[in-house]
Amino acid sequence: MSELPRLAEDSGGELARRLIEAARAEAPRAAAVERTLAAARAATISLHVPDVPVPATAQTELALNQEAIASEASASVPNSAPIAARSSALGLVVKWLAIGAMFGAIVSIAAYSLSDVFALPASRESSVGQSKPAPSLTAPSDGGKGTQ
Amino acid sequence: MVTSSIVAKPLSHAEAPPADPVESRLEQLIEREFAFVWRLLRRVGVTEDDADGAAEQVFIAVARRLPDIRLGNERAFLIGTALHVAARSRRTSESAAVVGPLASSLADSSEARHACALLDALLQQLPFELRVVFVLFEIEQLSTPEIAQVVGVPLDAVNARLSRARDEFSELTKHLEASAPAGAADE
Repeated sequence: MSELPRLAEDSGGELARRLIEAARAEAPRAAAVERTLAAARAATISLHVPDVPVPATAQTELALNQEAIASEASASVPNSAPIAARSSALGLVVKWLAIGAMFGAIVSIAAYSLSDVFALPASRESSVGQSKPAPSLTAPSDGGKGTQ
Repeated sequence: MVTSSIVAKPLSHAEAPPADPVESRLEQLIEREFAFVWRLLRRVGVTEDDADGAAEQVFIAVARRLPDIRLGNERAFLIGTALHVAARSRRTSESAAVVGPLASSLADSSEARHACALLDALLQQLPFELRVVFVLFEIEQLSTPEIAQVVGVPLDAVNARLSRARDEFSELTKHLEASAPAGAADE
């Protein structure tokens, strides 16, 4: 599909052309650019060295005051790829899985060791009897004393 | 996390350390796109007094998220952030630009400041989503596929919005020219 001609260059009329051309020519003051550069640098410095207090210049103060707005603004933007947030969420899941696995292992070991203590005597005997070899029918019952 | 890797990166040369890539990318972005963001903010309803501060907020947001922003995707991020900041700014200070008083002095519309004020008053008559597409196409001269990408809507929707916006804008300007005193529209 071919691109539409723009109103200012084509059929917009004289008034539309003048208004649009004036808007295209409008530009911010150079001081605003400089101030933004300083504030943005302050923002990146505070990111790089989070524990070191940043000098509280007017720009920095302004940047910090605007932090809440700015972070909220950036959070709502599509395609911003919040890698840090995703990796921290993944870390949280892994951490809880690890905690769950450790807890499960401890509970299993405890249950296994306690099961022998609380086992019923009969079942304990039967388990002991099963482990012993069966007595021989041919062996003397007095342990060989009668032959002496 | 990301920044620590930048700080901890060993220097490969003995001479002066290279400039921080994040910071230099940010500076280039501000120098290249500040005027664009500022004009966009103005056209979507931020007053001239508030535009400097609003543009600053946009770039501070960018500075904080720059390592996460893919190369070439900066403009989409800037536009999204600018529209969000503009929405907040408009909520806090509803500018009451009206066409009437401005239209009475159409002869002055050659003066840039007055023309911009009149344009803003006209643009305020358009619904916000139409205004954004109109401004990006007619004033910032982005192509419709570019607008679809940065605004995050399908190309068909962009074309439909643009068509409606142009019709409404043309209607407004024609009405204004017709209602202006004779000779006022001409210099």
